Amino acid sequence: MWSQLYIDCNAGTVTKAPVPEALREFGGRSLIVNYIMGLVKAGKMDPKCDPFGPQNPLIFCTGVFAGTNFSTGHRLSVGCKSPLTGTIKESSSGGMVAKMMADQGIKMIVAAGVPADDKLKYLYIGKDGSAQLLDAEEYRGMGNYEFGDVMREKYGKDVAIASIGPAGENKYKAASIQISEFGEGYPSRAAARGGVGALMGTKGLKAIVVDKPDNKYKVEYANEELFKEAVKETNKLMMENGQKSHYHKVGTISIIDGTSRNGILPVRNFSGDMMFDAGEKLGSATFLANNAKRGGCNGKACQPGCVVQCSNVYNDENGNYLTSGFEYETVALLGPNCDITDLDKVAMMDRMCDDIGVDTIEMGDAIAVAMEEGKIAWGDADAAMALLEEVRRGTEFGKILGDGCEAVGLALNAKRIPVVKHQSLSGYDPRNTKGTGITYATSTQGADHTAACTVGYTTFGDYPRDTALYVSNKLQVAITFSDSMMCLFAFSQVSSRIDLLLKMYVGMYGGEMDISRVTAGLGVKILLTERAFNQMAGFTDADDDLPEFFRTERHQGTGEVFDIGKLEMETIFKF
Amino acid sequence: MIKVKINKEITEIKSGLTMAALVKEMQGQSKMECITILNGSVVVFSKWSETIINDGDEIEIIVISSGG
Repeated sequence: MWSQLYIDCNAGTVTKAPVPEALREFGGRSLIVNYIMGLVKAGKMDPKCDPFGPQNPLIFCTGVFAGTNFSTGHRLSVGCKSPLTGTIKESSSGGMVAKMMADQGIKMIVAAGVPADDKLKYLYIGKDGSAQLLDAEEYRGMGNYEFGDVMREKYGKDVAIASIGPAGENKYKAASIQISEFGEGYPSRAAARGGVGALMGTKGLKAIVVDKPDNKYKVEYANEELFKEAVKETNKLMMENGQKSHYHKVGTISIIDGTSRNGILPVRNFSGDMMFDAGEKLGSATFLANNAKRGGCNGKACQPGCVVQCSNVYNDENGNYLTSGFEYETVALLGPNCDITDLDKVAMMDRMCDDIGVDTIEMGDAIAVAMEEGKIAWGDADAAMALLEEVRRGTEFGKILGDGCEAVGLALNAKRIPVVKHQSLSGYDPRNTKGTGITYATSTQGADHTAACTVGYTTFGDYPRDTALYVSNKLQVAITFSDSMMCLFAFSQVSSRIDLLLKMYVGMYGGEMDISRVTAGLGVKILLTERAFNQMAGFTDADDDLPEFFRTERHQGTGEVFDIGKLEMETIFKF
Repeated sequence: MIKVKINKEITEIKSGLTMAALVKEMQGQSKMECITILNGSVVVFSKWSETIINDGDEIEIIVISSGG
């Protein structure tokens, strides 16, 4: 039976218990909202509570197929009431932690309450399955890279690590939790969005370090035969499609080749300008050529068993490791959105963000706003890096930048602040991908491309306006249930075979072969429950909108504005 | 006509086609954005119009979707 670890941060204790029966069939995003709503129903959590207060739990959990050989079934979900948005939050990541938790037989770790003192600790789960809170004061202020090295030195190369850097320790609202990758263990995977790292800092937790167990947990199946039959077919399909995809052939950086041509790429704080050469300077050709010369790589798995293998290692011009898990969003927002077109400089900023423990999307948007307001010059990568160093050092402006794009915009009296529900937009201009714009506006998580980026699911950036609402709706449901199961990039390879995912679900948990258990039970119902939490937290339909400038400023390249009406968008969750 | 491999399938195409013309033919009405790889190297968009496809070339045309 799967276990949960409960950390009482106030008492400084850790207890282990079976996962409650009511949560047995959930994982990932569905487990998080059900756990949180359980607290709400029991009167232990007010949705209006202070996200930094004792009522807000920080949950780490695996997906519904963890512990099996299902490819990408070891995503880690981190959930809470977001310190950044005030909404419910599920921020997910690849890397090794979920796999190691599953090998330990742990489905979820809950950090509850706040510590009585300011002492920093870390949770260590040993080879024998024991869990202890240990003193981490000596690691205070340490970046995620050095911390990972120290932990591997102490416990060996097999440990999986979820850690916060200085940003999380200082409770900045854009703070991430960095997750160690498969292989070298670089802390380059991230539960980045929504300030989950700030909450981990509030809990006084520097890290969760999970060792490889002496005895690997054996998963219980309702019908192992059925599961194995379905997982074999699903993995095969995922491999056939995934390895032909741009995710595998190049990596997500390749997306910039297209978005630089069609007006979807954000340029100079979503100005609406085009940057046609961004694809060539920052995209597939430069990335692959530099890798070939310098010894980096692409087509790398961030977790064992992944057949899509979209990850990478990017080296500097001397062939030394610079960063990994180097993704489109980071390149788009710290690059053209800040008028920077030097891939090496963007890679350096990515490395800094991972080390400090801040969301690259939030930093890219925030620095662009700072540039627009004259804090530093457009395109000045060195000045942008100096600002990131201010976050590490905790200077007056560093604290503001650490709190994200909206905080910077308000501090500098900016008029153009690209946020929805206090969270900044990712690398897609909503004027030219209106389905994604609808997702930004209506997502339960704040502006979040992973909630349903419609680019590529319909004609790229140029599909009939009237289909945008339909596509965003269908995709938000589909991605909600896939968020309980697997990686989004893997899901896009098998999204036409939900029947296989259902077979796996029934093989694992038993019950009826009824597709609505997936589409409604893990999809629609979860979305509506998240929305109900947000409403209880004080959000209304009025919060489901984009910043006004996307409606009033025409995109220079396409002439488009975001023209989906408020009333139209309000229909999106009327299932 | 010449014989080339497009996404690992041997295909006959008109001789003298540029990469831009080939992509246009492959895309049809979809307008899906893509990257192109010719004999193992990415052909950047600005070179599509001047890159002539030759007999025996191996071409990959990969549609891009979101993520990152």
